[in-house]
Amino acid sequence: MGAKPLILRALTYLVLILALFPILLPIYWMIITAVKPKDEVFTFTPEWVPHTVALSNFGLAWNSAPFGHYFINSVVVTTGIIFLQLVTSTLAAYALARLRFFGRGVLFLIILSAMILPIQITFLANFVTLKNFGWLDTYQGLVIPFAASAFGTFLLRQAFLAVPPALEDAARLDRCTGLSFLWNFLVPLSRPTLLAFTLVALVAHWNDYFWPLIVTNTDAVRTLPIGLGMFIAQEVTTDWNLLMAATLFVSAPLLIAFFVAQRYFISSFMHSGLKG
Amino acid sequence: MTHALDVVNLTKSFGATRVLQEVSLEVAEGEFFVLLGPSGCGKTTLLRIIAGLEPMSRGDVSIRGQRVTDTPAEDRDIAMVFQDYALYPHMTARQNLEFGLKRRRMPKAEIQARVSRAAQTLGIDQLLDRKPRQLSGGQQQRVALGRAIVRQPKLFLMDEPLSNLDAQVRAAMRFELKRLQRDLGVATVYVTHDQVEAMTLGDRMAVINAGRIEQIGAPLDVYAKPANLFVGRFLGNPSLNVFPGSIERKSTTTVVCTPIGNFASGSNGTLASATEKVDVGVRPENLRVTDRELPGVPPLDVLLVEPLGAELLVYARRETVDVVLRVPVDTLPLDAKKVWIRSAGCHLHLFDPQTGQALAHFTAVEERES
Repeated sequence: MGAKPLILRALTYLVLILALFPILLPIYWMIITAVKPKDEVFTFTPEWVPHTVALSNFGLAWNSAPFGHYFINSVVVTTGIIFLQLVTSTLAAYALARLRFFGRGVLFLIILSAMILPIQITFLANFVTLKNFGWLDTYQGLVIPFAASAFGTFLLRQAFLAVPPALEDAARLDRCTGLSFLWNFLVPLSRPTLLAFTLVALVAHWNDYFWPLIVTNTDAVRTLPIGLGMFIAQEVTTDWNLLMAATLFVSAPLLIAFFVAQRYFISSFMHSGLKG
Repeated sequence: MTHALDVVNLTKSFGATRVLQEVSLEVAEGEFFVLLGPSGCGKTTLLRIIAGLEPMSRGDVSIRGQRVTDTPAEDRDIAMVFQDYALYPHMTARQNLEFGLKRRRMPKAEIQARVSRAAQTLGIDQLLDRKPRQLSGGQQQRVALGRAIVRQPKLFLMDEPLSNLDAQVRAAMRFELKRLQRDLGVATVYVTHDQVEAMTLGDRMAVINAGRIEQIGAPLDVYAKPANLFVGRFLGNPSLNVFPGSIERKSTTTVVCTPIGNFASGSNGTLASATEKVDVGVRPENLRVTDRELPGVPPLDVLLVEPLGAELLVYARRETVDVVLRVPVDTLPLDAKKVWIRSAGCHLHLFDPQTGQALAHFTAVEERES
């Protein structure tokens, strides 16, 4: 197979670059607005490169709302959710992929159907339950409703099924069965899937707005997206540069995580053939 | 004396399908025992039941005289080599060897000693820090064997371990496997569909067909005296020639009449058990042949002569009966058109045409007029 003709390759790149524009432009605009002084934000001709870089915007934005607190809340909630989802999904996937028991197929179908239903359907019931537990406006209220993941269970079940049965036989003869087979074989062999699922869950729950908005009332447990929302609401029309600075540090951890682990992120979708 | 392995009346069904029927066999200490049969005959299932990886429907399995029918696989103290090796892909070769010993909480020093001894025996010392995917098929095979021998189990089970190797490596590994098994002296049950492996490796073998044991014995005995038509046909390449025959009893001799000639037994007693109509089987190398006309013997038309080097394969036909012969290279010219069978010295097997069971094995003699 020879190299593609130059013109074809040039065209390919051109199309890709054009496609990148609508994706990257808002991000670029967010970054430059975040570092512009207030008087440079609105100019008659758009300023593509800021004249002066006002890094002080970040400090100002950070201090104009309890972002530090929101940040910690986001980390606690997201970490809690991901940890619980990994534990429950791994165990459930193991049972569905490797154990034989009555009703396994039906159970799997029910889990699949949970993936099809929009999550918002569960919100009312969950809200009432949490209210009865007295968990509104608490970390538990933010974390526990997401302790299990149908998507994660499905994804890991598929990954576990791909581990050849002969490996389980061999491990069994080496006295490694049940949960120790899960821990010593299935988990390490499914690492790309586990990592990809972690990233999907990270994006979903770091950015989650709807549920935290419903169950939080005080800054003590508010997460970053809610904090940002409150910040926008209180700033009304002024100080776009501070808003963009705040938006930037809300989204930065995810962007960094994505760049670090993008290989796994993409490969997981190749493996599962699904979107999150 | 207790055997390394006893299998008694083992039956296995999947629903209504019987995969194994009343299988009984014993394997002596240190014996290399081969389960030979076509694919789908149940030999791998039998091996997995012995290992405890598959439940049986009925029967008993004992290892060194101890009944293990209800013992889980991990407590049977057996080691198995799988067809696709089943090496642990996320572990190095060394970790693969160590894993089973660590799970048995063996002291570290002992583990190291066993691993290095096994690695030396198998010539894989240099490969111990590689992952399986960095190893060739033959090397993976060695690691898989290593993982089995470090365990020093009571019994080795091997499921077609050479079938994924290319022909050259396979022949070399076959030799090594035999040598290794002899050195270790551990009883081994080896599953294969390859008769060459079965003949060369086995001290004894069981030929299995459709879930039943057709015959058990030393490879050469089974080859020379097949218990039935299936065994006769399954062993040997080219396969056994089979054609219909009839028995003619004379005063001092009994003659087997076949489309390719008549074969006389030395005495009447030899074929006493033969029925009137029989199926006659004869191995290609057990027919004696000449290109010079023999009076009273029907000639065979030669279809093709294949020189193999030291031998010739001769494909011949008489009327509708095809015969394959394997003869020394100087027996016939390559362009021979007709050949005649010399009946004296030909070794024949007679089978019951209804049941396929062997009735007699005999070497034909010169027919004397009586």
